[in-house]
Amino acid sequence: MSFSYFIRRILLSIPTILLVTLIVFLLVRLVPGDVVDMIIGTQNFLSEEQILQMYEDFGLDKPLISQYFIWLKSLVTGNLGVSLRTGEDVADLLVQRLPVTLELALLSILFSIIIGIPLGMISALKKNTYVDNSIKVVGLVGLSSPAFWIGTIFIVLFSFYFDNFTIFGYVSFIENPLKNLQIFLLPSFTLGLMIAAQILRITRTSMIDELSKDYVKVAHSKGLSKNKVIYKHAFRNALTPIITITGIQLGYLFGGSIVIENMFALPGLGRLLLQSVNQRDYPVIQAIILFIVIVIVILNLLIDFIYTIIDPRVNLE
Amino acid sequence: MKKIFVVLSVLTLVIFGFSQQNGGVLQIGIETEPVGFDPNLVTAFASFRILENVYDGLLKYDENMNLVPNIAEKYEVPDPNTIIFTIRDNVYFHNGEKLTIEDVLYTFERIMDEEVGSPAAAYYSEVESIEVLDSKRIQFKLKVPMANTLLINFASTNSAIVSKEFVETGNNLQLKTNGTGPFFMSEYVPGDHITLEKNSNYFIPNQPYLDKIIFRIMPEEISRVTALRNGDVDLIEIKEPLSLRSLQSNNYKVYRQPALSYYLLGFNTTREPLNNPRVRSALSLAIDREEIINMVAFGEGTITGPINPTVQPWTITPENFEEYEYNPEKAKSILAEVGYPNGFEFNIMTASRYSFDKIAQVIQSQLSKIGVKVNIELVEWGIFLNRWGESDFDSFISLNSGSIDPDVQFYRTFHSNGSTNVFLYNNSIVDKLLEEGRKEPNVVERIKIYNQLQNILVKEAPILFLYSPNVLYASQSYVEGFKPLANESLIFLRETRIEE
Repeated sequence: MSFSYFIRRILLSIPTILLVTLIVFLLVRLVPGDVVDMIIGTQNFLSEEQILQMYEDFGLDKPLISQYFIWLKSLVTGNLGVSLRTGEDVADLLVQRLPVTLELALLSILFSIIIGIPLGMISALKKNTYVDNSIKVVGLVGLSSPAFWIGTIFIVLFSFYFDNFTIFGYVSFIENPLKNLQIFLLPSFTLGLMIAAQILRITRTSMIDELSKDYVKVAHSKGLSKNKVIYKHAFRNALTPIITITGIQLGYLFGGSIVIENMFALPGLGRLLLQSVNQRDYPVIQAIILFIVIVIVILNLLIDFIYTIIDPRVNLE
Repeated sequence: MKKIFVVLSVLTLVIFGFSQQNGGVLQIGIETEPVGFDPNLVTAFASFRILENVYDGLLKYDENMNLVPNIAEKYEVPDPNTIIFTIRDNVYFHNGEKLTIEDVLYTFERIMDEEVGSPAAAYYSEVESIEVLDSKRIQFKLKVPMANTLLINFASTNSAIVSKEFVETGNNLQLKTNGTGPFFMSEYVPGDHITLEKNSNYFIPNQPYLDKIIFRIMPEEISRVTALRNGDVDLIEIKEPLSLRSLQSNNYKVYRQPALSYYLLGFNTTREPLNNPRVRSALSLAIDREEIINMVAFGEGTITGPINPTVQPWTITPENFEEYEYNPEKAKSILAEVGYPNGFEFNIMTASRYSFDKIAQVIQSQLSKIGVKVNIELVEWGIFLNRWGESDFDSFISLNSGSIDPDVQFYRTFHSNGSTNVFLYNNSIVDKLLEEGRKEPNVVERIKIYNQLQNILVKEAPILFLYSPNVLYASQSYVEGFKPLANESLIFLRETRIEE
């Protein structure tokens, strides 16, 4: 692993990000209906001139290509623009919303690791027993149940059986750590379950794979303890695909957060994205997607970096 | 002596405090988030609902939707071309500044300024001049004699009075509020909540009762109902009547109020065969509105003609229209007469909001009984609005806001130049009636005009008026004094209190 390799990777990701900005820019504008339509709704009191004025004020009267370059130019100067609907600064909006989504993502990943890896290990070690089969069923159910369904079930269960359990009413961690964690418990568990199922499966397969390899037999025959063989040798080698999946899932978490944040009334980025898509608030949509893309690019870099630590054989040159 | 005085004053304070039953924090679960806070500019319903508690107009509505004075202590209509308002002397903005007649003048100049882009500008397009008569009175002169029709616009949140000084010193009202209302906005966390706090300097003594209102934004209905059930909030709005079933207990109060808004099936009146008024009114006979209300809204709605049955004295109630009878046989024979003995096929454009899609499904099944095949086009709301604006549909299901004045509701909808006449409906008699109706100063004559108009609209059916849904709210049993209004306003939060 070398420094120049990372510089190269970072430079290579710039065209990717640029391409994504162009695609996002065009996609949101290809969808019929724009912000002016949304403002007018079905109760039009505005005159033709006022409507044209609005397109002009929003800069939507210019040709697409020049709109794109105006946006790129302001991006380079660090200006994300203002929301067309509310006039709020987009950068401020992102900063406000990010902590919520970040906390949700980290807690969900935490849950998914706590649930997914041990269950996957047990499943692998007890291969083809009824324990393994029941865990497989749990995993399958987890994989195939949509988050909005599991979330609803949790909300209903908790509201009926735990009267004093607060589900709604976001407070920041600094303000009230205990209430904050309580609020995040259900949404992150819901989201964590979905990912846990993925991690469980990959842990199981890659453990089974490793355990059947020759070096494990050698280790056993050398007289190493069973635990040492499993945890020190096999598990370490099985970790690589698990980390890949976990990293990729972190990216997908942004998708899941859209549903979960709406369901649990959390003021995060996912909810802001959905709302801005509904409102056709272009600057906000573009900024959020751009942000997510950058996060995913960085995550991929980090995953590659972590490989080299776990498995010294991996050479990033 | 001193001791007695202290005891007495404490006692008075205690008694005073109790008798007022002031105070408390009310948490409300609402579905949608406000988009912008400039009262003269906003168009989103979610913004109105917050701002009507923060700002005041010259007039307001009482619980029966009658116009009553607000910032104006009285209004006079000396002739149909003139309105004179006299404002109160004790109104202060939240920043402490006193409201003057100059602020009133400035507000209406601002609304009518093309550059500002206020949606309320259209209401005042017939205003010729606005003149300050003295420090308390302001006079509106109109180009056409429609003073009585214009009055209701002064109660709209879009016509709320803003501070001249505050705006001119460069404050962006979309982001910062400075009103005269019973509450001021102390906090807005986008996506999460809006906090309003009591304006202790409000011009109505003793109002408001609550110290604080927190509007919690909860997009999912199940989340709102659950939050009410486990005590996270005190009051919620209900969009799905089905939710009421899980709130059937003495622990909750349910509020229902027939709305002015109405569901409609609107036609593109230029497309075959829906361009034939007889075909359209045959469809009216084949649609069972009662069944729609029962299946879609679980009975929480009222069948409506062109004017909501509660809007007196203008309405002709549905039982007076023969087209409202459910009679599929007759519908079939009319279709046979006009050349469609085997029915025909058309599309209904719909979106999955406010039950539009469900209404479309019920209509689809009802019309299949007379051999008319309905294809449902379910599209995203932005796409819906775009195609709606371009009249790119055979027909669509939607919800229109009604009004207590027929001119406000009808002119823009059915005049051939109306701003929301996406039906492309063009009837010179209707145009003429609409133009006369808005100018007619005599109420009895106006009623005649709008009676005639309602009959034509039902017979020609450019749209089928279906039903008005009930506005639904639910609260904890300790919430007192809350009333929802037919226009879905929450103005009564100023009289709401929490009983211990």
